[in-house]
Amino acid sequence: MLLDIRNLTVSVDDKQVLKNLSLSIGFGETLLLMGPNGSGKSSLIYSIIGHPSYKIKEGSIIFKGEDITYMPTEERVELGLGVSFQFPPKIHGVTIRALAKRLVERKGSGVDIEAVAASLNLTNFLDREINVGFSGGEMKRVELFFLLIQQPSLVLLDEPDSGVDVENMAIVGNAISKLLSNESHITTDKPSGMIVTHLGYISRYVITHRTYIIQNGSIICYGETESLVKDVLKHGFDGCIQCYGRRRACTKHGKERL
Amino acid sequence: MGSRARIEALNKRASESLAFKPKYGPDIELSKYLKQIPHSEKVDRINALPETLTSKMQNIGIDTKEESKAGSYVQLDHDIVYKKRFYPNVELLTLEEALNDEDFVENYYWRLIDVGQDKFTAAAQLYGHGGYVIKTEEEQKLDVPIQACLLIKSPEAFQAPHNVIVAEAGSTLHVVTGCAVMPESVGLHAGITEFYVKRNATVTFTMIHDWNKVSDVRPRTTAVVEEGGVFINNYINLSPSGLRSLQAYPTVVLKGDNSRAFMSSIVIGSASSYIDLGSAITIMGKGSKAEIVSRSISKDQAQIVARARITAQAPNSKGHIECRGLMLSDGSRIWAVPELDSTIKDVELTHEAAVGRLAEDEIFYLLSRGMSRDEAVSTLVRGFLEVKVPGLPRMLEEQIKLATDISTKGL
Repeated sequence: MLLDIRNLTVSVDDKQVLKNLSLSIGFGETLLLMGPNGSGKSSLIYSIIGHPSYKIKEGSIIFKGEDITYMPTEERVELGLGVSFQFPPKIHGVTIRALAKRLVERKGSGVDIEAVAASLNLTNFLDREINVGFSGGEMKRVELFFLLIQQPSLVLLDEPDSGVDVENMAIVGNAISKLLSNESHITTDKPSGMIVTHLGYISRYVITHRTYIIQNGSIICYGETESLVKDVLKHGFDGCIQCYGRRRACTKHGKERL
Repeated sequence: MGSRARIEALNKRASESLAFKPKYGPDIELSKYLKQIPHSEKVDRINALPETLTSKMQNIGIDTKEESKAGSYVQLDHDIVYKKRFYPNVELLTLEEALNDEDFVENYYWRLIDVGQDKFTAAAQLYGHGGYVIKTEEEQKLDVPIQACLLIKSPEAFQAPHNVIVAEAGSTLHVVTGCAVMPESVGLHAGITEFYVKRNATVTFTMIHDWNKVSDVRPRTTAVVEEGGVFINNYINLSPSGLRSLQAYPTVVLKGDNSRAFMSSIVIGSASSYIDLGSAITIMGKGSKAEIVSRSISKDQAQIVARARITAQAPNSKGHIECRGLMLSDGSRIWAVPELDSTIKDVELTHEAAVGRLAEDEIFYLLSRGMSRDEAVSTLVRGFLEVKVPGLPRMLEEQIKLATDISTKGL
């Protein structure tokens, strides 16, 4: 396994946000993580990347065989984690190009900044301060831009499609596909991914291997993406919760009950 | 009144004002600075000066190779060691030369600043030496700057040049000036600068300062802008090791209709620096616009007062103040004082002020892109100081960037 999360319980300001959560991602595998607002989707991403407000109470996170549960964020990134945030902050005084240059220099990857920007329709944004005056969709493209430059081996995407207009949806979809393929990578290993969404539209653009449903900080169901997403769109998360609540094997989608 | 009579009258008023303490900033005993100091020899190019001086000059935005400059002026302590003009359509004189011209004395000398304002203006008149006078021709647009460098290199020197800048109608002028003190010197700098920005003229003035722990700085600056004129003042105080005290409150009067002023200041206060720096714009012409932007960083035990004042006395005027302070230590202080003052109803004056620490979510964002904490902090501190000054030539922007990079390295 590339990422193995075992029995993770996490609190923010003494409020429990993840509860005994277990999940694993194999090499080259991409998961979709779905759940209603406030179910813990973003909390899981923050916990994996190591945000200081997310205090791990129990459990462990193993990445590439290393225990990263208490590792500083920059070391996790060095190891190959990469995040696209749902609400990235504005960084005044730092242009996109300046940060991109630093990332390229650090990795010595020789990524062509201009080409990556062009592929995301961001050429005219390179010399602007990061996220200052950007629309929601523009910020999403900037997040993907940085990930394409970072070339992580595990990409964690938090709502990469929210706020993206129809015209840019295909661009975003293509960028994600590229991130998850090995074509833009220096290494030949195919990266893995976890895409967080509450709508599931992104699954039309990106091939995912499995979908997990998260509720109240725990995984309650998982299964094959196409039918599970279809069910969620049809019955809502409530349907999922009811199904889980019936305490029977969720045979429809998964091979096992969690 | 003839030139001589006027200068005598100025001297008289100055003598009577030598004890006047200024409104802001700690008082300074002038007598210890009024000693004889050694003279400096003239040179035929900037790079003929010792390397210790030229490297200091490069840190404060001076291009010692003098590539693409309209002119250069270098003053060491009291002495003008170098002055050269590369463009024909602009006058670059020493104050001494300009004082031979009756019209200059009558119309431009101490006309914007009262020589009796305080002990520093008085001392500048009575004991000051040097200073430059720049005059453009009408409609002449200079695309490269004139650079002026004022260095204090002798111990206990009092450096008070008197500079006058006259931009004739329709002309464009960029001036960059770097002032610094050599590391071992105790010095008092109290330069006088008067700007006359005439009809539809544009002047950008960039001043980069680099002082040491034992420097006291009291510059006095006023600009008057006529109809359609634009004045952009851009002040940067680097002094990475701190200074003793700095007090200045440059003032712009937007006299003509549809005139504009933009004043920015970037101040780094470290060690036990005491800095009281303001920018003031008075709008007297209809439809005029004023903007003041300040960025202050305090660390160690530095005390910074960041003042900004826009006064509106004409209809359809607009003014905005943006005052931001970044605290890097407990025990230092940033006191932001934005003031808006209007006497008529048809105006739009706004301000925003913020003082605080670096935002943790921004630091975390950079960590999540793989930066170390130190790297993230220095990137954000450097970013905090990034002020987009309108209308500066690109080359000048680069020089400012370089100077700021050098001094923020150790923060």
